[in-house]
Amino acid sequence: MEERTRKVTLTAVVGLSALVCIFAMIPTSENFLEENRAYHGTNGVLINLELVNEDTVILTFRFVNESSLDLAVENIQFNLYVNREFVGNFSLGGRTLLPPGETDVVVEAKIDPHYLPRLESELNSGSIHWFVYGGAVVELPFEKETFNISFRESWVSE
Amino acid sequence: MKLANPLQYVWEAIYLILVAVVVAYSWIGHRLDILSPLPVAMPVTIIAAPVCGALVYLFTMKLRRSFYTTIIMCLIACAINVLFMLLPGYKGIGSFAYNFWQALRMTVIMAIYIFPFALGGCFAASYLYPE
Repeated sequence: MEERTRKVTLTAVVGLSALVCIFAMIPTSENFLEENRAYHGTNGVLINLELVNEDTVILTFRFVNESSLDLAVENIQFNLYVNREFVGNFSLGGRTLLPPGETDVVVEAKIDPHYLPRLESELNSGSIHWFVYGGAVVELPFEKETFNISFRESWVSE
Repeated sequence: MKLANPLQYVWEAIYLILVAVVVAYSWIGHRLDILSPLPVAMPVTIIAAPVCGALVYLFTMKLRRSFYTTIIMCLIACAINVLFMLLPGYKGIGSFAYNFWQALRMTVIMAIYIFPFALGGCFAASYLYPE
């Protein structure tokens, strides 16, 4: 094959391949940036805690999603302490969508009867300092890709 | 020594950059496969380097020259890869130091593969199609 024809053919083949790669790189970079924003900009804080019926705690978490992706909370798991006394480990499933911005997620934790005497004794002592140590599994919209966020929250109720 | 037409050098430089883009994407598309509309499987990633090395040789058909240009092509591919992986750090997402070390780690692994494989492809092409 003549040298010039060979070079033109190779340049055309490589040029087309490079063009395809560049067009694939653009959405990849956008997704990569949003994925990183989701990893670094997603967090959850406790904004409300209520004790109802003397054995059920209703916790409201506010999740902040700084990315433009639609994330989802897969599972919230935490240990609950009342005045530093352990009253249970809770794993609350149920998928909740986290669109960009703030989303409040309400979870209901029913305290095991085994820990109720401990809770009642603390209730009689006056104000209660609640501690919530745990985390949540957050799902990205890419083939079941998940990451974890942790929280160490406290709440005082009279 | 007779110098070639300067346009030939420009053409060759553009060709090298295009080949480097293909090599860089073969790694980016593999590493970020779930984020990419065109994911690259591991065997394709491995084969891309020798194929691109062979393409560099076939362009000049001069072994000595293509040896050095293949090294330059690999360096450009590594640079593209580092710049791509540094994007979050550059945009101020997360820690820049963390992004930098992640980018460096991935590029070192990529370099370990692509330098010998691309040069091997270049030599194999020169054996099959001598100067």
